[in-house]
Amino acid sequence: MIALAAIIGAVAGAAVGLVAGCVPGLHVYNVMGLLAIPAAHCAAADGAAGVALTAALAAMAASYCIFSAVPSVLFAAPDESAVFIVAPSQRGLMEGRGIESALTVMAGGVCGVCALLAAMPLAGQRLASAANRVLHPHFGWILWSVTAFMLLSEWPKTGGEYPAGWRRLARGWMTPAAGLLTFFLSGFLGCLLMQRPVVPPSSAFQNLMPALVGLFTLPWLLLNIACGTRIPVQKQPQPGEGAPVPVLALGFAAGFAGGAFAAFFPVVTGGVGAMLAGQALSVRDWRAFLFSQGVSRSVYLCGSLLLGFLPDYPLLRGGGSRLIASIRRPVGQADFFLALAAVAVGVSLACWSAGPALRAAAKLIARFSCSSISIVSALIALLLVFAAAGWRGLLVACVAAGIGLLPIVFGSRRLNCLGVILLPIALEMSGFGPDIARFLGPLP
Amino acid sequence: MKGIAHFSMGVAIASCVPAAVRSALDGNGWPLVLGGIAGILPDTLDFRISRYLAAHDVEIVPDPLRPDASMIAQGVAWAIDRCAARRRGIRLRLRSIRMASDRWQSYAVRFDPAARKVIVEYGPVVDPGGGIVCGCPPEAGGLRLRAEAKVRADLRIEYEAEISVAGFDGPLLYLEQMKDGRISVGFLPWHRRWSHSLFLAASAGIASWLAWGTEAGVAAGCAWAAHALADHCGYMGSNLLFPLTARREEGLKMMHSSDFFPNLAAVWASLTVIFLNLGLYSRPRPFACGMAYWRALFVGCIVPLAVIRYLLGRANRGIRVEKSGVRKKTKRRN
Repeated sequence: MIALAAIIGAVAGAAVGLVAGCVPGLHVYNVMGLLAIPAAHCAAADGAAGVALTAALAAMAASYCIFSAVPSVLFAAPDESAVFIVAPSQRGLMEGRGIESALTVMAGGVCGVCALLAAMPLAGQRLASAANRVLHPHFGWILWSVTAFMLLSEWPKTGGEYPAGWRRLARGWMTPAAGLLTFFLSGFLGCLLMQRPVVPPSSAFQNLMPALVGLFTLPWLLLNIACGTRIPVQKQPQPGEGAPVPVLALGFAAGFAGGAFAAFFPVVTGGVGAMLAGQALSVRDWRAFLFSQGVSRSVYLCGSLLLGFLPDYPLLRGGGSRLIASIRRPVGQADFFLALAAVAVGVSLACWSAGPALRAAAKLIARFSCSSISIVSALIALLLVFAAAGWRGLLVACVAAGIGLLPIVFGSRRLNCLGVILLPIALEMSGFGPDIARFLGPLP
Repeated sequence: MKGIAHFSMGVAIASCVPAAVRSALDGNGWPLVLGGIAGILPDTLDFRISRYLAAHDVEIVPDPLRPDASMIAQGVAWAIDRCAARRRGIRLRLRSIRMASDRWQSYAVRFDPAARKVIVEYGPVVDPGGGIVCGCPPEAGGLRLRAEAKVRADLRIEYEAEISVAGFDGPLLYLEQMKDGRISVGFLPWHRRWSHSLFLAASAGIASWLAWGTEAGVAAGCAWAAHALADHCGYMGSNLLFPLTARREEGLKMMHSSDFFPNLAAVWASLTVIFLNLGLYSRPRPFACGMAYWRALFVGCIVPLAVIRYLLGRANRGIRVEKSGVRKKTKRRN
């Protein structure tokens, strides 16, 4: 009976994940958050329901991480961990290779999950426990190091048109200055939201959603609406057109390393992890890059979730494993293998549905203009924000969209928008939380 | 080396200072972060400041709409001849050809000292990472996409014989007549001059020591020095003894800064060292001190890197053999 409940739960969860993956601006953690409270009641009342819900949430995360490539690549509506995918995949889209780009990201995701499913039972427990014992007291400064590297490694891109001197320096500094401004503004917004949440305590997990939608999802959509770009007809990829295996292997190595780093360290997202690993492994080919981003994203989302299921040393990383633990705390080998199986179900369902979904998305793009699709995507995203956080959420999303437009306008890294999570958490970890609360003043 | 390699090396060096790790365990990880910052700062100073203050005497600006390799080749040859005639250094900027916000029409300038020639050839359209966006040649409209120009003086190549112009605002070359009459072609004269010196490393160390204490000073100074020394292993070299010397010395030519393996090895080794050093002070310790530390370093770093190096070597040998056609012969013999 419990096994049947788990199978039904996994399939249903995977189906919900597929739908969530296709909706621009909707993150799987938001869906999981919406389900958390009723699921906790069900789990408390019935043991089989708890098992089914656990499987459902694990499968949901797995199918979402594969399917969210569709809006990220084809509708330019990424979330915070898919933000890097947009620029290269938009280029592919404009060359009629959008389906190939999306398939590359999805294939990366599937390969990442497969490797994770093989690695977790073999070495997950030993590696995670050893690494956590050593690194746990050091998370604060490691987070500051990631932030420092992110800010210091952005080179100026402009200024060549002026003669050497201070004017040229000032022009050249526009890009990194915009990057710094984006980081600190988004960081300040993050601090503000953490100290003064815009949502009631019962839905605290949705607190950052308006800011994330504003920073990462809306800017590209607004740009597409403003530019009125015409997307060419998308070509169906032919056999033999894909990237060579060594290129993909490099992308896989970078993505897996980056995703594992992001899954283990709090606050670091899959995109940041893949960026760091991509720099270390010199990933330059756009297909390898997209593949690595797909791998990283799936390893990050599924890996952080599976860490919470480790039999003897569970580690709560990311929103997924925390939400599941709040519904029903996973215990022992049975729950660990249940989660692995549910993730496998989620990925399998995503694989089967990828072809029809991509064909449907390509038809949608061919039938409607880019700006109409972007308008609809933006409306859906805003509607979700309104549903989750009301008018105050919409206001936060608009402010965040203004900040998120800075990197697009000035050509700086969009990664700097992650200040919204990095800065407040790094400050909190370093013990500056009370000082920030004092600085921001008492709650109104 | 790449920024991430320098940064991780800086943190690794800082983690070798026991007081810095103890301080991190007590909640103050600043000396370790400072190590990383000092590790990347020499390049940050060069690419964010020096680059913009470096003036040029001659600038070659190709027309994006009328690609003409002969104009570029003649311009470079003219600058070299002028340098020889005037016996004065000339700073020559080769402006990149920007096609869009994130793509450039690449071209390569090759110096042939034996034939006393400058050869210019247009390449593919590339993105900021050097990835090929469009491999087809640009519309020449009757103009030439490959051209050569003769120079009168003998040439000496300081960095590389072929310079690819494909990104940002284009490289600056420094042409200078040497004592033996040859014209030396230097690459990016503003890079690795004062910033990559042991003097600045010591200054950074002293400033950090005064500001944040001994462990921060040692971490910052050593990380900065490690950056300069690591870059000196490459082709471009660095000016380690600034301000005693004004010129950038040639590097040891053991690797290129963008090579895959040295960067990977630096990051891998640094991460292993950081992990082991942090482990030495964690309670309970995951491994004992002494030989166990070195064994862990051997197993976690040297063995995997040796395996990767071996596999890469085999893969590269395969590519070389395939290119030269030797493989076919070998197969027939077998």
